[in-house]
Amino acid sequence: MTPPPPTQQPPDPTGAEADDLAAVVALRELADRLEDAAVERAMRAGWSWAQAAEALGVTRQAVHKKHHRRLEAAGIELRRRNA
Amino acid sequence: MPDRLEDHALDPTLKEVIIRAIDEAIDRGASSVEAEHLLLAISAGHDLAGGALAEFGLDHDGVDAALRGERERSLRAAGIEPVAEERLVATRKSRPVWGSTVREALRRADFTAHRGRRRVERERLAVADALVGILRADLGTVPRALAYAGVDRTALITRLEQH
Repeated sequence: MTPPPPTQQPPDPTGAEADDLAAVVALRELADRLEDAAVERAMRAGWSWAQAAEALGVTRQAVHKKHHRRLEAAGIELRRRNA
Repeated sequence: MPDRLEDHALDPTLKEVIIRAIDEAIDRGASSVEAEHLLLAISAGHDLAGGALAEFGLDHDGVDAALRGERERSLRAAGIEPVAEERLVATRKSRPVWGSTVREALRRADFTAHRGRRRVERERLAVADALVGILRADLGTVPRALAYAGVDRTALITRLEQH
């Protein structure tokens, strides 16, 4: 595919291409916030790190590294058994 | 240009606004501090920059509404309806990282524009300079939010550069 010649004008920030790219930004942000909320809800309900990790399809280390500081600061009693 | 965020010579007034931007990011559950958070922090002030934004309908509530509108439209572009805020409630991260859009805004800001002025004057104008840096972005969250809110970005830049 031949790229179009460069234009002097910047693309429209609300054009079709910009909409698709902005959707990616908005989805990433939404996914991040939903993950924070969902992991916290699960841990408050007594889930272990290993269970939250399995449900997310990531390693226990990954989910722990990403959320443990935040959730410990929130005073959530994190389950040690099966942790 | 060196990274302004690690610049110890940063004007104290601007530094305060940048610290407020971190709080804006934390309040919104954001994992990084972006240009829109700096814009929110600037819009909360009653200085030259905050006043100019208010003239264009962008007081703090106005910016907040414009940013929400942009996110809703962007999600709809992917076929996603907005998720209820109560499902997104979470303990906030205490230390979001610096995002590339805020770095770029400060890089685009011309802090040397008022070099000849007195220090007090330069400090007063540093926040307005940072705002111009944010407004110079042609693409991304802020220009989209302003476009949907019907704000003339070029006119706002012109208004700020009069000082």
